[in-house]
Amino acid sequence: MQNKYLLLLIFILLSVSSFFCVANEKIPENETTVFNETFSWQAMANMSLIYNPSLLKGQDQEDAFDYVGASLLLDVYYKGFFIQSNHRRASGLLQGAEFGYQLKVTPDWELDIISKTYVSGYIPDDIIDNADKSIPTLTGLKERSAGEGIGLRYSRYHRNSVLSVDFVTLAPLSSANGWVIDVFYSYVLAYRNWDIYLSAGYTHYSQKVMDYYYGVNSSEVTAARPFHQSDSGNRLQLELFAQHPISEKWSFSGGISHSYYSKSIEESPLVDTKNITQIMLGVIYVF
Amino acid sequence: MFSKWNIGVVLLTYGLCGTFTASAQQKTATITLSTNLSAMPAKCITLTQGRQCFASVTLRWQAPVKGNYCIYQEGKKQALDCWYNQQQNTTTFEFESSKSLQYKLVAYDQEQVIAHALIEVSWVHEASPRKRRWRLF
Repeated sequence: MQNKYLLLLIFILLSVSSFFCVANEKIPENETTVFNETFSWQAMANMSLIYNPSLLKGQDQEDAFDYVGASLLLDVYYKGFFIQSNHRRASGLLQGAEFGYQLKVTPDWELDIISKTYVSGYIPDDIIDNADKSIPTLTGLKERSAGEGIGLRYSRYHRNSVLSVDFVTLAPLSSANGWVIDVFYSYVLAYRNWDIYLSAGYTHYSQKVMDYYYGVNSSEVTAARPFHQSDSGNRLQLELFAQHPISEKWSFSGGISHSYYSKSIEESPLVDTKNITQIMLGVIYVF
Repeated sequence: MFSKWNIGVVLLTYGLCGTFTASAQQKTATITLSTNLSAMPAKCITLTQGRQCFASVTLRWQAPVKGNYCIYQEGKKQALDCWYNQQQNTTTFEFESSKSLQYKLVAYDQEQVIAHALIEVSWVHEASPRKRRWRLF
């Protein structure tokens, strides 16, 4: 439902965008300088077809709208503060967006305060409503809110690649508590006008985080859902993402991502699988 | 209301005006068509400002008379392509630049530039003060 409204909003924005003259960028003199007066922002809309299976038992993409993704992407930078959106489906305010502040920037490395959603939340009743069928493992289960985290990010830059490590706690901003370590390496291969990103990620979720999302507490036990206390878990991720310009306003983007989760996730009675392959094909409009 | 003479004068004036207009248009068209250098595509779009842009570009030229002609990239001494005793032709090459480039058609016999064509480099995303990291999921 939220997707439908977002899609509608994007179409309205696209249709009225030609009326606005948006001079939105100052060309920076130095890409790595933080304490200058550079202000920049860029708003983008992403519309895509998404194959996005869930780890949860019984949650499938049911109708055509489940395969349509729409998100507003916003990049803002001002005096070290930044917001950067990624290509995730917009299912929460922070979902897919990174908020941060650059503590230290050198040409080779960077240290930021970072805040983003590290684990997607879910509302069992909504999943059941959308599926239009009974999902015994989710019936009566309490909502799991999105895992917004705050912590530090260390990034190491090379000529065509970046390695970043996030150490974050979910405790101050979400109900999940616990902590997450997220390591992400991305190599950009420029082939003619294509940008091809080859990426690999490793994420460690603490026991409290895992238990919040995939555990079943004593008040939630049913015949289909035995008591379960999760151990800490890990995710390995491989990703291929490509972008190509179509015009000055439009670009094509597409990618495939495969995630492999540790056994501790699969042991949960709520979970179906430990392998997830996600695919996205779409276009980005730059306002 | 109007005599035959009046109608005759009006028709004559209209006819003469029409002839002059057509003649002027024809002359303009002849001049425009006679010397021309055009690029297809005339715009190369890259993803990010400052990045090299790649395109397979065809330059099409037409000269008023048969002769020896060369196409040069502005600022370069080496010709992109040359033709002998030709009045029109095309050349296709691989464009690669982060900036807009101008090309010129030179009449080799007169050592004179007779036409220009611009290949504009444009982009989708402006250069950002912060390195962007794309993550799909």
